Amino acid sequence: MVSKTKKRSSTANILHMPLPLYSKAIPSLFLIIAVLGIFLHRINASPIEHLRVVFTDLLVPVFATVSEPAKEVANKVSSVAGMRDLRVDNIRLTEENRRLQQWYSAALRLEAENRGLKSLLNFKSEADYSFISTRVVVDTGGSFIKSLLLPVGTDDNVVKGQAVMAKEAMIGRIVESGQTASRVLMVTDLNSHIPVLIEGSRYKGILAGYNGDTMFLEHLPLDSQPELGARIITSGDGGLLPPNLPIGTIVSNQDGKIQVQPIDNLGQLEYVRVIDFSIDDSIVSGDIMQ
Amino acid sequence: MNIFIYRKKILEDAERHFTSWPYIMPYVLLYTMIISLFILSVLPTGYVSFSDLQPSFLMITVFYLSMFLPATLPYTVVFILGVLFDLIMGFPMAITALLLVSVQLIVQTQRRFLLGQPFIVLWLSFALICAAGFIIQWAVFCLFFWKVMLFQPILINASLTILLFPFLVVCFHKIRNMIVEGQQELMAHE
Repeated sequence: MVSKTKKRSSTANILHMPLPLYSKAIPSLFLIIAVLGIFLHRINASPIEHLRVVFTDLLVPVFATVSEPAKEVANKVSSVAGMRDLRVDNIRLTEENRRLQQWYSAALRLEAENRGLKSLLNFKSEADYSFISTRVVVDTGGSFIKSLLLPVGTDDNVVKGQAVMAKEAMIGRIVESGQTASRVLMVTDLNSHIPVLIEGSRYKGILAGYNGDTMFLEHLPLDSQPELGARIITSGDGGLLPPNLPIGTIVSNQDGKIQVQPIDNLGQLEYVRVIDFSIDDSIVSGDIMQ
Repeated sequence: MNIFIYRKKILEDAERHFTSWPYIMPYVLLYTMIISLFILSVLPTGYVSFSDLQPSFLMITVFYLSMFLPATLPYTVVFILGVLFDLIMGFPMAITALLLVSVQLIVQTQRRFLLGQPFIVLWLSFALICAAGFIIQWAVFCLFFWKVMLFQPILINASLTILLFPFLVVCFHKIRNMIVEGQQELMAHE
C-alpha cells in the first residue's frame, strides 16, 4: 500500500518537479549566447540580417496561412458592427460622391491642359513606376520596432529600398528582401529618415520617426515657415525613393518641433502596394562612394 | 536527481501512455495554446484594432509553465522561441531569448517560495518580473540603437501584460488540471 502510494506520487510529481540543479548551467549558457548574439548584431549586422531573411522566407508563408482566418473573423466582426452605421455611411458617401464628381471633371480638364503645356514645352517626363499589391502578414507595431512582413520578395521584383504605400500615402520602405518575403520599415520607426519637402512651399527637410504615432520634420531651412495642415511629400533626393509620394500632414509646430501625422492609419494596415521605382543598385548597397 | 534519470523517467512515462487519449490531449492543448499565443503576438494588429498594443503573451507563458509545469518547457525551447520571435519581429538578435530565459531562471530559483503562496502574491511577483523585464528590454534597445526610445508604450504594454495574466492563468490552470487528472486516471488503471 505504502509502495503503491509512493509510486503514484513520484510519477505524478515528475511534471511538477523543478528542473535538476545542474540545469542552472544551461540557462547561464543560453544567457551568454544571447548577450553574444546582441553584441555580434551590434558589431556586424549583415550576417544576422542574412539569417533573418532566410527565416522570414521560411516562416512568412506559414503566417500568411494562419493570418487568413484571423482576417476573416475580423472582417465578420467589422461587418456586423458596420450594419448599424449603414444609414449614416450612405448619407456621407452620397455627399462624398457629389464632391468627387466635381473633382473628376476638374481633373480631366487639368489633365488635358497639362498634356497640352507639356507638349508645348517639349517636357521629358520621368518614367512611370509600376507597383504590386500584397497583404500584410506580420505586424511588429509595438514599443521597439515598427515594421511589417510582406509575402513578396525578389521573385516578385521586390527589392531593398522600394517605397511601400497603403491607401493614399507612403507608409515605409523595404529594408530586407528575401526570395518570397520582405520586411518594411515604417515611416514612424526610430531608424526611419526620409528626404521630404513641404508641398507647395518646396522647403526640403528630413522626416524622422521616433517610434510614436507621428514623426518629426527636421533640418528645414531656417527661413521656412511651415503651415499647419501642409502636406509632406517625398523629395526624391538621393534617388532612393520616387518623388511626390505623400506621407503626412503637419499637425503641430511648437518650439521648432514640427510634428507630422501619417495620412494613412498605420495601426490598421491590411493591404499595401510596393512601388517598383528603378533604383540605382549602388545606392541601395551603399557602395556609391567606391 | 540525476538529469539522465529525470529525462528518462519523463520519456518512459510519455512512451508508456502515448496511445492513451486522456494523457495526450492536455499536452496537445497546452502546446496548441503556446503556438497560438506565439502567433497572436506577431499577427497584424490592425485585424483587431489594437494599434500598438503588444502584450507579452510569451512572458506569461514562460512564467506560468516554469512555475507549475517546468518539465513541459525546457530552457532550450524557451531560447528557440525567443530567437524565432526576434527573427520575425526584426529585433536585435536574441534580445527576447535573453529576456525569456532570464524570467525562467528567476522563476525557477524562487519557485519553492512562490508555489505555496496565494494567487495575489503570484500576480504581484509576475508584475514585478514583468515590469523589470520590460525596463531591461527598453534599456538594451536604447543601448543597441544608441537613442532614447519612448517609455510610454513600454508602460502601457507592461501594464496590459500584467492585466492579462489572470485570464491566461485560468486557461493554463485548466490544462494543468487536465494533465494531473489524466495521469491520476492512468495510474488508477495500473
